[in-house]
Amino acid sequence: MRGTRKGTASSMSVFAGRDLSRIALVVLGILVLLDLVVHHHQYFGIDGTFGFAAWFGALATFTLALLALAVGSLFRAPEGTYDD
Amino acid sequence: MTTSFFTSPPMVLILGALVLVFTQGIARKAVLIAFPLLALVLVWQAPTGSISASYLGYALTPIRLDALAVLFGAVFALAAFLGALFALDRTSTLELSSAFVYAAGALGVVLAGDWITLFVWWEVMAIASTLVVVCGGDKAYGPAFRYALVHFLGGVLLMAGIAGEIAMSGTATITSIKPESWPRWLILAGILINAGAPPLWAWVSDAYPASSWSGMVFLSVFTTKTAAYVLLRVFPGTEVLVWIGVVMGIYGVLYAALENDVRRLIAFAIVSQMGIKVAGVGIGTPLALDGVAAHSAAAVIYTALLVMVAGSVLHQTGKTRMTELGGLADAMPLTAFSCLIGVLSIAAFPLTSGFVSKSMIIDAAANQHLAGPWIALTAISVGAVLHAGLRMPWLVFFGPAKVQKASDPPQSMRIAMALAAVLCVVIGIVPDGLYVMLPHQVPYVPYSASHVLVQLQFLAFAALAFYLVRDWFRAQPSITLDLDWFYRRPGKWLARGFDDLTASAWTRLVSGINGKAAKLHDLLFTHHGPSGTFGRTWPTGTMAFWTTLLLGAFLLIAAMG
Repeated sequence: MRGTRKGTASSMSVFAGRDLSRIALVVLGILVLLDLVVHHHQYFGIDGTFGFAAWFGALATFTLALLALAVGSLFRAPEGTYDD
Repeated sequence: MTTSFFTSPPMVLILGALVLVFTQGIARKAVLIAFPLLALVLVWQAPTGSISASYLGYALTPIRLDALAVLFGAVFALAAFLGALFALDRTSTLELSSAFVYAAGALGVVLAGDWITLFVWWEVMAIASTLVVVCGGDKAYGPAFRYALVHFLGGVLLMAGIAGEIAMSGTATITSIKPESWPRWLILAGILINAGAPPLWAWVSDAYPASSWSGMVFLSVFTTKTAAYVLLRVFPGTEVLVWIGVVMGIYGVLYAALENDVRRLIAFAIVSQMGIKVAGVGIGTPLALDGVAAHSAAAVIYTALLVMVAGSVLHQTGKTRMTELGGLADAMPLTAFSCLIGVLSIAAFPLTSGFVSKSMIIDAAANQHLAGPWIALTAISVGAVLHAGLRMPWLVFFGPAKVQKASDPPQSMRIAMALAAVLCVVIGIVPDGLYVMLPHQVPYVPYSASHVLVQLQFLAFAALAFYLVRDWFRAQPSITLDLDWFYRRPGKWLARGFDDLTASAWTRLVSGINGKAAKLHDLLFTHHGPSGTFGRTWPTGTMAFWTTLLLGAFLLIAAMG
């Protein structure tokens, strides 16, 4: 990962390149498809579903992001809140 | 065995703290490097065993070395060395001496075999760490005061619990127990305060970021990890800890994801990672306990690394708010690279220390078929991608450059970061070096095709989810209100109200007494003052008149008699 020195480029330029996006999507696809050949030990049933870690990873992050958004909307305060 | 208590690792660091006060220049730097290394060698070389003593009729064990103590002792000594190396150019002798005493306290707790010795070192840690916070400057006084109050409360709870436990059991020896009596609940509460557990968890994110660029390295290592150690030693398998840990883990993720100050973000990440360890103690199987020990060791190094990265950014730019940072990767390449190693470790990326340690705890939950804790702990582990893994490097090192002039920090700081980064990777690649030090020696194979694939899927898709919602987590100049609001706002109003009440009562008391005194004075003045009946000066004629009258009366009475 390399960032940009100047402030003009997108702040997420590291992800913005079309080639990089394609590579990332291919990598994600391969990671899921590898579930076809790698055997996973199941403990709960749900962890034996196809691509479990992939969808759980995304879902957990998205859920935590939503929760953080909710906490932020309720409890965000200005930086000087406690300055007297 | 170390030959005596006075040549034990904690006492060596106390001696180092004293010597620091009297040395300057090269000698001072040599002391900073040598004493933690000496403590490390002493811990490492010492065969297992114990030293006994007695005090007030109690059998004490000031030094007790077993596998768990050696692991934590070695890691703490190593962290003290890394912290001292990073702080080599720090001029504050108070901070560095206090940091050595603080490290000595942590080592003392680790080596203590009885409650009385443990408590003494526990309080040494509390006082020394408060001084480290104070050295952060004028703005650190408030956080340091609140930090001290919380930790002294923790100390009081622990002391009361220890007194009760010794009274009930008749022995001061530390053993594994269940919280089945009120003294044991008090002990648990006292330890959990240091672990960053609810409700008094805000001290971590309040005090740590207030310390200096070097002070936070020491702070991030000792207090919380000593608490993890004592929990491991005393309360393995205590079920309530599973859920306390889960709450800590989720809280840390959410608050870190919203935080603007990079050092406070790391403080929240510390609480989140501590949550996984506390839950691991609660799970309590040999694999879980080995996992907690391994993850504590790994977390000491990668947390110290991340704090050193943030400290370097503060040292070089004077800034910690991510709204004012960004694009530093080109100007501070080594710091940025160290950051990447640190965040990969905290996110448990394969080939890093987090991968080979954190998964032991989560696998232990799976082995026990604890579905709820397993889902929660996995989510918390994945959540590290959200706050530290991507958000922190993105906002500090990538994106638009907001700081015009910056460079990597001085050599000693760079070496300390590089060493910590190398350790993160070495532990990740050769985990057996860590595993042989674990107390239960449960066979664990981190590098199976399934485990590596699952972890890569978790992390890659967490990164994808973060990419999609990244706009929610751009830096904002704000804080997120925490449970410390209760003692920093209503608590403060209550204290002020009490202060006003007592002040007005005092004023009324004083004015009442003054009023009475004034009245008495007036009364006395009326009768005995210059113009009072008894005090005024009488004319000579009046006196002669009354004397003549009295004499006449006397003669008359005499004549009649």
